[in-house]
Amino acid sequence: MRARSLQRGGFAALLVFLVLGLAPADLAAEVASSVTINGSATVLRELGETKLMPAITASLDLDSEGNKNVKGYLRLDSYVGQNVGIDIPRAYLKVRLPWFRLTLGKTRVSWGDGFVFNAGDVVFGSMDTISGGLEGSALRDETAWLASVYLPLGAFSFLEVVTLPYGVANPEEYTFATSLGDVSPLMPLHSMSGGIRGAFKMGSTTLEIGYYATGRDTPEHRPYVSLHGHLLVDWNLSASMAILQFGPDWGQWEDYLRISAGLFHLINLGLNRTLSFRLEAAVRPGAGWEEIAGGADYGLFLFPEVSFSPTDTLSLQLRSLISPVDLSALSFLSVSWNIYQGLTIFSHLSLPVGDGNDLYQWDQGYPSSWTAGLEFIY
Amino acid sequence: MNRILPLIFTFGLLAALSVSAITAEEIVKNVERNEINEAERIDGSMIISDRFGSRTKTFISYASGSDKMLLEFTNPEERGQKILRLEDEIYLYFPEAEEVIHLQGSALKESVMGSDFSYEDMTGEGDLLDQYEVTLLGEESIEGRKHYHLELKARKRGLAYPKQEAWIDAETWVMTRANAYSLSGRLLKEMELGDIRVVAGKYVPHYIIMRDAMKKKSSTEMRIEAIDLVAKLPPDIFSLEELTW
Repeated sequence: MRARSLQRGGFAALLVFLVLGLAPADLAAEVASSVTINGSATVLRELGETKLMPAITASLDLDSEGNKNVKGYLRLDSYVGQNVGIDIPRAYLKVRLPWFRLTLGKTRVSWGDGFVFNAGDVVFGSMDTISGGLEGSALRDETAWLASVYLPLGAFSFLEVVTLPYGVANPEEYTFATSLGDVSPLMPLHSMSGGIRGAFKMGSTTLEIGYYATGRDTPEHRPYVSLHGHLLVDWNLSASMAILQFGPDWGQWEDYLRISAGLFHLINLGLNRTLSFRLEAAVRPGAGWEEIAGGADYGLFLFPEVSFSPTDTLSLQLRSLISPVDLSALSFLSVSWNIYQGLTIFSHLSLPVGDGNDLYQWDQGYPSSWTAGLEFIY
Repeated sequence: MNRILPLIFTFGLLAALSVSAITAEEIVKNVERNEINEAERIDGSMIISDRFGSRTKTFISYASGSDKMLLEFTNPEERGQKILRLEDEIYLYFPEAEEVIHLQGSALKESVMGSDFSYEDMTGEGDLLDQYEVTLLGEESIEGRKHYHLELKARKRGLAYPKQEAWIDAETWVMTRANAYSLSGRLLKEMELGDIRVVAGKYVPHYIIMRDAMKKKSSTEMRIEAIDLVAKLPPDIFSLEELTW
């Protein structure tokens, strides 16, 4: 018994020695902070009524710097209107050990490839229509409590193992807790979600394969494969399946299959003017291919985008979420101007185009809106 | 930024008229010997000026040889965004979305953060003599110092600049001026380097001013705040793992 304790003590000492030996001069870290304040006013037209929504959002980012082997990050988001809301979308630690990297906390992993539609994103799911607006440079930025191990295999290849004890929670389910037990309720081990992926470079093409199993609600096996490369234009193609863990019906295999594909091309027009095109598609063979009233579970969605930058600081963008099955669309036109250091003036118009039975029907569900505002980062 | 220097190099004929004993290839080799390092770290800033004023971006860059570079922005607006150049590949990392983007094709010519530098400019183009046919046009005096005037013509398609012109200080082997041209001969960019200091036995210009000839009242100045030419870099710093750290 004593010998076993000594062995454990020796192993612990070796581990401490290894960790401390990584960067004895680098253990101290400093904080780099930045604040993003976004003030806007939105005029909405919904259910026959025109409304105004003024809002301020402010984000505080605290990022450690100066330590090459340990990293901490905290983001605090606040929403200020007539009422006040607070969220912590990111709070995590990263530790680099001799052969792998460990991440622990609330953050995001980006599996697969695709700007809006990504069948390879089996963790967070990027095949649905976006519930929020189409503004912003990152349309999918959900986070969740997770632990991951990243194992590099050369410069361009790696393996990553991830586990999400609580899965991906709906933000609307978040509540303020008054005790640690409420913040982190005990979870049965079998209800945890987790998976593994590997990314490998083959010439100019990158292959990513992985598997993820969900543990909560409807347990599923989710294998996927994702490819991206360049042939005249940048392209990506992903396919995944969401197979019920209990009682899968292989006669309905098309219900399990998800496919996404994307193309992107940027044209330099000279005089620092650029024009870019993006087209993405999400296909679910087993979903609906005929129009139903107010339907959202359709088999095909498209996302076209055209961006034009007449100068380095000015950008015009036209994006749409198109539902070809019922011939409706949510269109989004935006202009932004980075006039001074850190300051951007922006305006955007969001417009659903469809009749009374469509997914994106005028004046219902998806409101028409016009927003104008300022964003300052310092 | 020392790695950024080779971005524009230069250029011709008239070699028969040259009175110099040195060849254009030898001049380029001397320049590369002075500016390419096995391991370097630079803390720098980029000041972008246009008619509305100026914007400052700060960064830390690491480089090894002529084809490996990792650059991380440290100013609040772009903090954590990174650019990795490894061999012929350029990758961008956006921490907000935890997303890696592989830059390919024409996207390489896109402006970096609204500056007058493209991604190719920022990360270098590899070995110059492999990529350009070099000709010594003659000798000139600039601010009282003897300079070699070179012309560089691209050996293959797809390089950032089909033709370049450069002036090399004959004593320090620092390129102090360069112009880049399109295939049709139109002036695209002008570059000026200065504040040359001796660091670890090498001559290092501490500022570069880049002007895009197509844009009026616009320029970008890059400044070296600190430089270490014998930096101890981790062996796997030029990798996707470091990019996403």
